[in-house]
Amino acid sequence: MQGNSLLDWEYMLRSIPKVAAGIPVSLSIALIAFVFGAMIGFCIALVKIYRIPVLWRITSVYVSFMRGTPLLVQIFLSYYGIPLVLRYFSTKYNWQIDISQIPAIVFMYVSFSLNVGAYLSETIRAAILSVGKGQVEAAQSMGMTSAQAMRRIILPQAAVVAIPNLGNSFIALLKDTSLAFAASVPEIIGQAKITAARTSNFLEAYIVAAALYWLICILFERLISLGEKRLRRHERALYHD
Amino acid sequence: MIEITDLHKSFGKNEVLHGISLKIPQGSVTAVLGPSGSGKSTLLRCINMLEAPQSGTLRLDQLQVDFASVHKKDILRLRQDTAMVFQAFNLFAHKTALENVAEGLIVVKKMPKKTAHAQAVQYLEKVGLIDRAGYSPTQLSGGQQQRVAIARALAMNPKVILFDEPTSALDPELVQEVLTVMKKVSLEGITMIVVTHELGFAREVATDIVFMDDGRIVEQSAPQVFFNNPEQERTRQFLRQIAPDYNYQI
Repeated sequence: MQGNSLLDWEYMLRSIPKVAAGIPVSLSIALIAFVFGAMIGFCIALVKIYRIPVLWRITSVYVSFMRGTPLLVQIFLSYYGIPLVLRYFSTKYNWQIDISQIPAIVFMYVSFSLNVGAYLSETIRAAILSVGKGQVEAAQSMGMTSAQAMRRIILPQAAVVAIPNLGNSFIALLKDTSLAFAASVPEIIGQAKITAARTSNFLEAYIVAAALYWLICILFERLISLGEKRLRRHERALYHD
Repeated sequence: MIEITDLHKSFGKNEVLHGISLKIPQGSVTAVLGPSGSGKSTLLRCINMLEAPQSGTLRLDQLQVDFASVHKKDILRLRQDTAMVFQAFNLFAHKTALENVAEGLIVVKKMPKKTAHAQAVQYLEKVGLIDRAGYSPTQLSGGQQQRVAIARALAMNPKVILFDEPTSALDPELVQEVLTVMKKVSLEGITMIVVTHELGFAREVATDIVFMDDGRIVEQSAPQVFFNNPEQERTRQFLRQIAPDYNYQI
């Protein structure tokens, strides 16, 4: 021990690589959940915009549930629920898969994707609706199909509108992945806990974890603002040619 | 040639077009006039199927469409043959002038990007905006935007171009440049249907005038007849209202 020093600085330095070992796990959850969440969100947005019967009801309940229950509970439901359901079907239809072999992180991918998808659906819906009706009519009037108009005209413009909100959602998601430790997934917090448990230097380990999250978030904020600038190219000012 | 027969269009319970029948000859310039709310724009949008009529038929050369049971493929076909120029221009906001003109060629006509851009250049030249090719819509004046929109319509090589009040959203000093381009287009023999309030244009450029009121066609005639010797009392009343000084012979 280092006498009356407030923190064990040397320990903190030594624990950085150990805690950082959780970064790839945290990032993989965030990135995979974001990609699948965006797809889910896009589908729900279409269901709501086109008011597709039956599906409209189902997605409303889904979004309401995802927003109305804590993420931690959803994680537990996936973690304990999915294996149970799989085991049931596996025995019933004789699938011959060993459910205990599925790594816990897979259930995290599922629960985070479902959660993010619900939140992103509103962002994406609003962004799509923000594109003027005239844009769609111009595309349709020249013979584009709805899918072509969506891909070539609506989505590129909606993306510009959505990107600040998508960026915020991603940063929030990145920090939410810390909850995955509750399912024994060795992400940043999981690693910090394991490392600190040996010597009880919990505060030091968590300070390291906080610093790592902060750095990663700053990095992604930069990336997001770069992406936004790129997408906004067409709004550049007149004066520099 | 376009032939519309007994076209009915309602919004909810409110019927706005009560059985329109209309023949538009190849290469003609038809000005559609009438008070606001008479269904002029709706008729134009029905020809492009941006509005779906409840019943009626439309024939455009070989293409025959029955509005009551129209197939999706026919809608796309019809739209390719009928380009639209909007009151609010509706240029694609995320694309440059050149990309706006090339977009339909690439996406709808499946042209390679290079060929499409080469063609787009020609059409921008035609509307006198080649020096604005790289500008985005927000960098262009209203008149310039509408000229790009006309180039975009021309590029699709349609059988007919539908103009929906093309100058109504423009500042007065920008109207003329658009009308000049439209006149130039008319001289090339492209069939045009123009919903407009520009009587000067209608008189000078149109070969046919269609006058609508309350969802019906009141009168269809040549401009000389329409302006100088209208058949219907409703037409005279309309002309007195919008051009009280106009001294037509009786």
